[in-house]
Amino acid sequence: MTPRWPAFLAAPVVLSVPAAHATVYLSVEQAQQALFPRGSFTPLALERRERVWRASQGGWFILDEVLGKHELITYAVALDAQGRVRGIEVLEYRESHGGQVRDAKWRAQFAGKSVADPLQLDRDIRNISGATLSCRHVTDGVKRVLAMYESHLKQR
Amino acid sequence: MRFSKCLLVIAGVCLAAPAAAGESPFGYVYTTDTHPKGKREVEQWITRRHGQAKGDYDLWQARTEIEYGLTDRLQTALYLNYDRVNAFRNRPDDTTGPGAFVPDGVDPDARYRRSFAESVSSEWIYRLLSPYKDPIGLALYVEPSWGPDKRELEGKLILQKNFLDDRLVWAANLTAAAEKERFHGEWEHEGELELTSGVAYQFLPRWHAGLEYRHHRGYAGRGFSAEKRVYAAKFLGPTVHYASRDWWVTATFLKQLANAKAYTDAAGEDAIGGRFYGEHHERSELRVRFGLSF
Repeated sequence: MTPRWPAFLAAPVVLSVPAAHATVYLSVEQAQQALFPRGSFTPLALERRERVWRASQGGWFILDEVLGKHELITYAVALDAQGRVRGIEVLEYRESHGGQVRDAKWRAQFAGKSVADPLQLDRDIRNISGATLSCRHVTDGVKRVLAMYESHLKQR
Repeated sequence: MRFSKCLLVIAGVCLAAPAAAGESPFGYVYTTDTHPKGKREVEQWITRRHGQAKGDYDLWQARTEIEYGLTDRLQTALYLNYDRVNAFRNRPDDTTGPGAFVPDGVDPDARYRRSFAESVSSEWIYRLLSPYKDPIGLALYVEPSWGPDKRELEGKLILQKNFLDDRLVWAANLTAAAEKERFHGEWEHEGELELTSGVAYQFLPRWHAGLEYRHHRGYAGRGFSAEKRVYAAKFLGPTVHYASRDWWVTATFLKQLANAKAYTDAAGEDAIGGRFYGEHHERSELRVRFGLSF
């Protein structure tokens, strides 16, 4: 006998489910100008996931992505000529929770950090309660960018 | 209005809200993730429990739930459990019922169908340690349930450990439940212990796939001593999870392994081919969970 399927199984089907969409806060050009005002930028060809530009003021603009809970977070890190963080910007955030990583005060904690710093939540980077995963992954991302500077950019 | 149509309307109204956090990549295993303070989520669960000793048996269990983050660590939920059973000659002796959700006195040669509200539950989860900051995630769970033929208090210890930049999630739950259920007009005390565990890997943004295991033990009376054991059954199967910005869905299929144990003569009558078919146990279970957060 063919089993009858209860009608209430159709409940989820009646939903009008909103489509996922990214919230774009800054274009690459806007992020570059935010981190290096009035600068010009020369792309650098590196066979890596990150995209890298040399800034006319001296220093580097690095575009990268990290995973949030489900989606990628697009962010940029500006490094000065000595490899210290000038600042970071979040360009695209695609999830419903954890967007507090865009908060300017939270991002400001990264200024001056270098590869010698621990860059660890609750150690030298304050966590935001309710956005722990995004804070962890962006912090880990900046740490990776600093390691990449040491291995690929420092001698250029 | 027919029961199933009522449920459709209820579910539709509850879920027609804009909507995803606090969800699990598993159908049965809880993780330590809780909703941020002030966030709400509506969830719909549907579990199809299929196949007993013989004949036809389908138990559809539905759960409509609203969850709320009281703090960033404390989450509460209220939910309604409602079921539909369809049984025909499901017993080892080729008769219909009685047993789980099939009462005494049914025609042993006729099909039995019934839809009913089972219970209302209040769930509380408190996260002590976060898997994103601490060496391991740890949360405590307590859930009282009340229904016309059922009273239950359930507690869980929830563990979670993430690997590979949080792409690989392992979680395990140790559950103890004290129940009082009405059989044949009499209230009987029962207990359950359960270990569930799962691993899930995020193979693409939004997508997890994994495996879940469930080891369920039943006890007669109060307490969990060895002499009160009635049965033990194990389940294993795949899980898949998809999460969008505002909603998510998880589907898990569990198959009962052929190494169940019956510790009493009565339980032995329900153990066939190494599987246990009494006390709400079936050959396979398919659970689909759908969540919308707002």
